[in-house]
Amino acid sequence: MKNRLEQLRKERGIKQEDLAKALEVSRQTIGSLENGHYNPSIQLAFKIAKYFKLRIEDIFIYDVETQ
Amino acid sequence: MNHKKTFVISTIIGIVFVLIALYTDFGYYSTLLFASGYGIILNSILHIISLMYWQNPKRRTAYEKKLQEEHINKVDERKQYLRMKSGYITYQIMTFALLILSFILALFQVNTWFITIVFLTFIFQWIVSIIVTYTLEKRF
Repeated sequence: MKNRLEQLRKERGIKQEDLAKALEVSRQTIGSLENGHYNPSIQLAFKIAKYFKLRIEDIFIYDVETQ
Repeated sequence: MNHKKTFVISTIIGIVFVLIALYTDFGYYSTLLFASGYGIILNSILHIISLMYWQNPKRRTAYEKKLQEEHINKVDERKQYLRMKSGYITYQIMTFALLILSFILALFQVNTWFITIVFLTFIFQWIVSIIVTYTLEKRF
C-alpha cells in the first residue's frame, strides 16, 4: 500500500518526532510508514486521517499490483 | 512508589531465604536457597537504586521522558507486531533446534534421560502452541 504521509507531513512542516508523539507511536514507526515498509492498522490509519483532517483514502492508496 | 514497594518486598523475601539457608543445614538445598536469596536481594537492590536515581527531582524531566518512551514502546503497534513476529520466528528456530539437539545427543549416545528431556521439551512446546492457538481462535 502506498501513502502520502511523508508528503503531507513535509507540506505542513511537521517533524517525524512530533507526528509520532501526536499519534502515540514511535518515530521509527513513522519512518517505516513513510517508506512503505509497514502498513498501519485500520485504527492507526483513522488516527492519521483525523490528525491531517483528511479521509483515509486521501492518504493511503490501495495498490492491487503490490498486494 | 508502588515499584519501590515491590522491590522492597522482594528484598525482604531474599533476606528470609538467606537467613533460612544460614540457620538450617539441608546441604545442597541450603546452598541453593542461599544463592536464590542472594540473587533476589542483589536484583531488588539494583532496581531500587535505579528507581532512586531516576526519581530524583533533578532528573524529573528526563524521567518523565523515559516513562513516555517506555509507554510508546509498549503501545506502538509496529513494535507489538515485531514482538509477535520475533516470537513466531523464535518458536520455529527452537522447534528445529530441539529436534536437531535430540538427534545430536542420540548420535553421541548420551544418557537416554537427556535425550528424553530434550524431546519432551519439543513435544511440550508443540502442545502449548496448539493450546494457545485454540484459545486465541475462541477469543478473536
